Amino acid sequence: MGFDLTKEAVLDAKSRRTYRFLQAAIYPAAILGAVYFSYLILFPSRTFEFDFTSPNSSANSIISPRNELGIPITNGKIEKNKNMFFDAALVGNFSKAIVNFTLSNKSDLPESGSVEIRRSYQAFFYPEGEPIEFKDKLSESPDTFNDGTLISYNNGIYVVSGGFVFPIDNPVTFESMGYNWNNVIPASADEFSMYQKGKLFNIKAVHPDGTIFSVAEDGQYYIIKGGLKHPLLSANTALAWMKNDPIMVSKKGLEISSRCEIKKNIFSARQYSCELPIENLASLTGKDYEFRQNFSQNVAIDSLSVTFKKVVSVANFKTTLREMLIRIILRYAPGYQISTQ
Amino acid sequence: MPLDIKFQLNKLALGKELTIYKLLHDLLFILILFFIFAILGEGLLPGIVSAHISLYKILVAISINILAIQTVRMRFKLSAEKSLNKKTASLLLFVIILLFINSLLNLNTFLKLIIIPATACIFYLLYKIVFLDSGAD
Repeated sequence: MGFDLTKEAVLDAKSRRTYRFLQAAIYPAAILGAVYFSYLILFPSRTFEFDFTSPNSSANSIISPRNELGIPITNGKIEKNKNMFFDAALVGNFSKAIVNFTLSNKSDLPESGSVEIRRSYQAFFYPEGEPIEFKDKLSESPDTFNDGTLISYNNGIYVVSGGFVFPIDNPVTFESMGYNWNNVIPASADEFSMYQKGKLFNIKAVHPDGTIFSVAEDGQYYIIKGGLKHPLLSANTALAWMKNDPIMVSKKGLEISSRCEIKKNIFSARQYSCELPIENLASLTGKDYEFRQNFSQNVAIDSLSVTFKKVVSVANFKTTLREMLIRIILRYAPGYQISTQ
Repeated sequence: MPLDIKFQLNKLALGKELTIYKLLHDLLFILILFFIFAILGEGLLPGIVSAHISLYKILVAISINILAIQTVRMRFKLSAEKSLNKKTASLLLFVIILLFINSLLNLNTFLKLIIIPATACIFYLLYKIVFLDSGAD
């Protein structure tokens, strides 16, 4: 007798043989399905999209397509030999990023084009501004928190900037921004009421004004102000600004990149793709991947997507398990310090 | 299998239909197992399953399956005498309690004080309905 959930329903010999045969097909199929599903979970892929025909759609997960001057590109038009930049924010390391885009019917078809990728934080990709030598202590109010300070109030954690407090949506976002749990200052109701509540700070968010970055290689400090990163000229200046630990970054994040040439899709004349190997970016810190795309002709893109994939390997398997464990720890014990080694 | 269904067949030769009926039970078993693992995974790491498949789709598949079983049962006038498998029921109850505790995570303490007694009452009523009124062994 095999596995039978309805033993009381007795079949004749011929039907029983048929049942056993079909049962022997269903269960292995279910096991194969479970294995495939485990593969999807253990070697995940993440897709980000932007639809230039509805640029304000909330479904657009690619962050701010823009030109070299930082002006948003909402119509998908990119001039010949000019760059379009955009970002994607995600946690974890991946093996490759595949950029796909579809050109509009009126667009020229490019003969060539390329895509380049870098990894760090969006704010650290900002252009460099004027160095700051001293901190103007007079402009500082003793009753308020410095911009960039992390505060806790009720069950929430907020980042202070420009008279606003931005609620951080979850511990994963907090960690992915490079923040330190030990830097969170409890705020009283009076202190909290001095600020307006800003929009939710999710993984797509940029570090706000007042954030200080410290470069791991040379100890240089930068402060974010008005879309620029300003070098702080001395460690003393940095200490005057800092109320939190700085966000650690690597200069390699600006230097190391990966590049690919666009290829026309065989099945569609207006679809192109480009595959970027990004294993060389795995050792870098930062949740943001910045893409730079350019073409040999003027083009108009209708839709753009980026898919991050992990290849099947023991190393990736271990990494995914570790990332899952970290997410579980962050969920159940948000303040617990996790070794990154 | 949560329910051990004992059949009293009104027809002797059901052939293909009965085979389908039995296969539908196997499929239901697989779907329920998949749903339990999916919901446990979601509880532990939200989004881990729903990023790939919406949980409602599994529920729809289970509902269709149950509907199909019921249709076959009615069509061939199969009467089912239901009895509860207490081991399976206890295991499911344990899973439900785990999920319930997990759902209280990060919830306001005052809200917890309301939800816990309310849930206890619902569970008690369910226990009365399922275990006592059914006259199960």
